[in-house]
Amino acid sequence: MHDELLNDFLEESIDLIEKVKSNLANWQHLDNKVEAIDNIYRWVHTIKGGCAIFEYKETTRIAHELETFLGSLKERVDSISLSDLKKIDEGIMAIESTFNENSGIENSVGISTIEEMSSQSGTSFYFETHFFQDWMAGSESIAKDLHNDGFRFFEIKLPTPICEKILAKLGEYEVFTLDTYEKDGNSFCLCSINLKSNPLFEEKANLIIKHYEGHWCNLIEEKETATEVTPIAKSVPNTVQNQEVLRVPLATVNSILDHIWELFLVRNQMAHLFKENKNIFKDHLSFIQQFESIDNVIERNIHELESKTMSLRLNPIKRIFDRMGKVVKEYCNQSNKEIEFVTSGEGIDLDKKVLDQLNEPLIHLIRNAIDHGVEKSDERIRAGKPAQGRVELSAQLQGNEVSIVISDDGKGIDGNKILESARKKTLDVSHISTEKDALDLIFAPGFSTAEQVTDVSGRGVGMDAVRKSIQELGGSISIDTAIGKGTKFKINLPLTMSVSKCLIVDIRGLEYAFSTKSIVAVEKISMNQLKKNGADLFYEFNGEMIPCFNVGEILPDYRQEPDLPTTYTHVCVTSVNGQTVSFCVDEILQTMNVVMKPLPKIIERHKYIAGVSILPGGNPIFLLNIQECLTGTINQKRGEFHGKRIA
Amino acid sequence: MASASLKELFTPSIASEDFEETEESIIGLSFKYGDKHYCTSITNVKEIIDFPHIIPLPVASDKTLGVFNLRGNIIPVLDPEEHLIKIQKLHRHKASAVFSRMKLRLIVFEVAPDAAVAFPVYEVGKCEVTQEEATSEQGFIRINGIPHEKFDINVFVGGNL
Repeated sequence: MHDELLNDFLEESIDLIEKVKSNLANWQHLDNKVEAIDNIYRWVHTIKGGCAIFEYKETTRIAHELETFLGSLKERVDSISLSDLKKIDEGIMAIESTFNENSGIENSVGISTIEEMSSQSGTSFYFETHFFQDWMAGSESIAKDLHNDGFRFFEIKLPTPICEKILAKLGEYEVFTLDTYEKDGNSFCLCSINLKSNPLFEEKANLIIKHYEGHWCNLIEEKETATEVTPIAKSVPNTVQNQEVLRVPLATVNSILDHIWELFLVRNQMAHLFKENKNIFKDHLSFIQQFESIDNVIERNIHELESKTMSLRLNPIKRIFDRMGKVVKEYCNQSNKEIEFVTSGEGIDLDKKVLDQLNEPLIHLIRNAIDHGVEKSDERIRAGKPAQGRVELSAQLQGNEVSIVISDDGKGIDGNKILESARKKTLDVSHISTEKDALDLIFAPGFSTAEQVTDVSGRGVGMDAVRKSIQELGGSISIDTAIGKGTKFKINLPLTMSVSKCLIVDIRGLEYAFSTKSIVAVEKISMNQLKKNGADLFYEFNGEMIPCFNVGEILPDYRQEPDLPTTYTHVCVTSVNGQTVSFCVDEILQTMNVVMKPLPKIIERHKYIAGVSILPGGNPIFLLNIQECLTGTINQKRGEFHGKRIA
Repeated sequence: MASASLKELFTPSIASEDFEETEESIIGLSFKYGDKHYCTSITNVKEIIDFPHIIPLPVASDKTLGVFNLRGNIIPVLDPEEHLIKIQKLHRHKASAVFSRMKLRLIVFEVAPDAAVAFPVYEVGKCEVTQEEATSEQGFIRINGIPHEKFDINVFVGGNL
């Protein structure tokens, strides 16, 4: 009963918070600001009352302070400033964050939907020109992506006969043409230019616009171009506000997804059964055709259903970016550093599960960037850098993946220093042959170059956990650094965590699956095609000899007759830590889409196991993290584990 | 054994035609493993099934033999060797075959919401336990004159959930 009441209260509070946010976002357009501030005051008061009942002491305190502040505003509604609105927003965000910590109420699709709409509303398109409405109808996402990448748009008028020639010439100035519209012997061209990569382009673009009677087009509201995080919510157009939002608990969406995946598995089993017994129907061709046709329809519909349901679980990455803005502010205060925090690509949506698990790694990387990366102002000035450091967090879509980059313009990481530090800590560095290997040591458990432990970071735990978290999400992390210039961490993540295309293989008598994402090539070869150097195997791929590993060496042997000699094998080519390598498996059985299920809680987590799924035949199959398996194989071959302490 | 009384633990979630709960008795589940008899609460028992095809783990595990598919749910099978009996160590990959020969069955326990585990046993059946024995602090319960060791699945999985 208590839980029910608590849930009701939290639901209601979240609704009230959304109402406050909406009022703040539309403040300038509100006709009756007195009424609005009264409403906000009342809503906050309601939240405070509920918090007190449920003994949310901290939230009660924040709500009380906010209520007091709102009370003072009621006396001077006409003079409410942007800074006052900011304070209200910060108070509301603080209340919301305590709710999130206390209850997990954030697991609600409704909230994400509202935020998503809010986020989308900030990037709504409008035109000063009517020529390119058709183009925009089908190209919003392109414009949005271009905009996120720093492109700005303008329209110019060119005489049609020489239009192509001029556009080709403009191309040399990095002006891209998106569309053209012909009218009365003139061509109106929608062009874009990247102002982010080179601010001087703006001057060029202005010259071009002036020369060809053009004007800038606000395909995207300019306020969206501000990349710095501001606590004030983006404005929500009335059309969006009027949309009804249904609040659905995340658990319900997940349950629907479970049913869809179950349906998916049953369909796979049905198709498998039919395939196995196809010969029974060999005299009934029309039945076979009809069955296969219906099966295709079922498969297509299941995929569509899954895709639509998955989209309900998507949350804007902006949520986590905003949170990081606060993290930066907090750590800047702690470390007495001046840092400009810049974000881009907030419009991208990610699976909520991915977002949740991304929180800690991002905090860690940003914390490290502030504490170890960006220098103090005086040091920066001495190095000829601006006094204010810069930490950038950006997201970019790349196919079915999102690439998140955390970069700083700090001192960079010295590979030699890493190596030296590793030696001091008696870590095994005998296998380090390149700077990249040395840099990779920062991901080793217990490694830290920080000379002193600060409140911010330097406790030597975390980077291994960062990599582990990313890998658990099916992603990867890489580092790029230049001494004196800065460091860049690049995280690649799948957009969703559901169906993934896998290669089903047999290794030592047991079937395994692994994602085809990182597999470059697969080939069946005779054993003598593998070249030997002592115990090391090599495979010739595209004219180059690449190492070939036997992943079976780290997996248990379930073969009936383990010692049976084989004359052929299958090699798969992939890359590990940037190096192209191959590995052999006993058989490649098939490729198929599998539904990744989480490992049962009781099973201990292991880096080699990415998840588990069910084959069409009904048997479970383990999904291997092939990158980790290969790293394990390589380390085993070296007779030691990466980063292991020497006794 | 968990601190809760057996009366609490032995709620009749499995309908019994053979036994009926009375004020004097409650229903439990008895099974055998190795040469020992055990008795457990039926509170968490979801079902008892024939030994299915088990897919072993790709990595060594002290606690889990492998997993199987129970109507679309992946259920881990606990390794009783580690918990109950000290028999000669077998190669883990042969465990499934060995169990099959022993005509084992699996008790599927629901140990947490959305978390089930299976435990391989044999000679499993319902039993009647007197209130007196159920509430006793002794580590065993007498059923048909045979002392059965009290078995609590939560003890095995508690730390892993």
